[in-house]
Amino acid sequence: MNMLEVIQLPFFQRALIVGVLMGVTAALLGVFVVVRRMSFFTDAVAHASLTGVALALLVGINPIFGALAISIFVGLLVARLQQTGKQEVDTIIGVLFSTTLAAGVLLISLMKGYRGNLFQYLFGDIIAVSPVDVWVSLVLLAAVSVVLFFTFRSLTKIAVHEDMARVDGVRVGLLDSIFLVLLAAVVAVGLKVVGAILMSALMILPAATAQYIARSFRGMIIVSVLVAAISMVGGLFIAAAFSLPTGPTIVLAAAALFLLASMRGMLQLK
Amino acid sequence: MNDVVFTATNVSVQRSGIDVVQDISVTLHRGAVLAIVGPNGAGKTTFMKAMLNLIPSRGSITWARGIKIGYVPQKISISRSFPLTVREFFLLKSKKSFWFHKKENKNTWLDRVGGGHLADKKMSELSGGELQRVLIAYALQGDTDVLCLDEPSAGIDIGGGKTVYGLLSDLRTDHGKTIIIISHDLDVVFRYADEVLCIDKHQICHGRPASVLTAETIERMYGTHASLFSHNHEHHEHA
Repeated sequence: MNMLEVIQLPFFQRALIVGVLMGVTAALLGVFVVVRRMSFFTDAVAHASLTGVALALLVGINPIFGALAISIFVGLLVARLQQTGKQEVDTIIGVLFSTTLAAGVLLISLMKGYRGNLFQYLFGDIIAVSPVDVWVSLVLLAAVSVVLFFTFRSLTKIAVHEDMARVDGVRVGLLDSIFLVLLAAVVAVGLKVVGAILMSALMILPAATAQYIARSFRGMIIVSVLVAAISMVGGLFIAAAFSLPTGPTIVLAAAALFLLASMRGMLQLK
Repeated sequence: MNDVVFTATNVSVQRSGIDVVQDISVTLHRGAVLAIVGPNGAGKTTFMKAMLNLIPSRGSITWARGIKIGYVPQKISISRSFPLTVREFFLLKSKKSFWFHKKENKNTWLDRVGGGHLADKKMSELSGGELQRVLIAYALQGDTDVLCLDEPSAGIDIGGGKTVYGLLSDLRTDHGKTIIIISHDLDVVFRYADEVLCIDKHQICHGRPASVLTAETIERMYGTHASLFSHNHEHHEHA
């Protein structure tokens, strides 16, 4: 089957649409994740979602809801423990990262019978997305775009300096909570695209690539969205052409763009 | 000059159950420059944060109605990989579109403080002095009445520090801004401040620098090794 035939397959078309929609959504949030140095935090939230998936499969509810609930819980717990000021944030994240992952693996071991469904949430299977997933991705992109439209300046001010933002009247706590909920929602919905293990890459790689290229923050956002869309489409076609698993191929396509951009950055330094 | 813009009465701040700032009272009038001085760990930054309602405190803090405040923190570290330009930074506080805007520097605070040429530079590429200039201009944007600065010369060279203080002096005389400044440098206090608040966890003195910064108060703040000597050419006493 050649590429022209593949592109006409409805499931591949759905995968392309969901991939680009989710890639762009993750990239938009990823820009703020990267400039606020929250990459490790995002990784922890994404891994924690696996516990939510396992828990949901055990009790028999939609795994997306389980992932969403646990991601938000872990995010809020990190924020609460950070406020106490007793531990450095990377220590708190490190502890929760391994704890939730261990809990997830333990819960998986309690499940009886075939666990193929779970594998899909671990590494993603974008080819299996349904027409409903297309609508969910579209609604999520619209929601993230609307929220970012209204909070963009405040989120950027927070990224520069939290106290300066507060003096300017920004409600940092409220915005952090909104951002966390969006982050958890993108992680939960994005599980089908690349899976819990690789989800944070979908957010971080496009923004990290854009940092090497962009001369302004506006440029970083635009380049980040383009990188996400290109790696999604490129990754899907490469996966289809060589019969490779989609999630890792998409992430490696994004990583290749990152490598190219970083080489450009290194050449500029010389 | 007599309008009161800020009053703090018996302000205390606790951290882990211990008072890090205790019973500070001060009143500030419009157009005045208040310097907050004290040794390291005296609670100067903590008190300023309490004033700005950035941390919880006890006692009473009252700002005049409608007062607009600008804040320049002591340390701001912008990641080298955060490509925010100075122009974009100012657009965050402006009503102009972030995405579609004309490249215009005239009559902006950035231009007035002599930083117009920095507009297209990345924030992370600015030198210490340039960054302070940009942060002061940003704090002033939007008809700011009171400028709060936490050690604006920290981390920049002597020349840069002098430029910053010269700029603050101009802002006070030419634009009538009220300024609250934390400084380690008593020379700066004598040169630029109308009032000084000396703290070392609790209040040691408050008043005109020439009246309250005596050998005794300096010793109470900095210990017996600190003393005053005079410069004839400045007609002031310095620590």
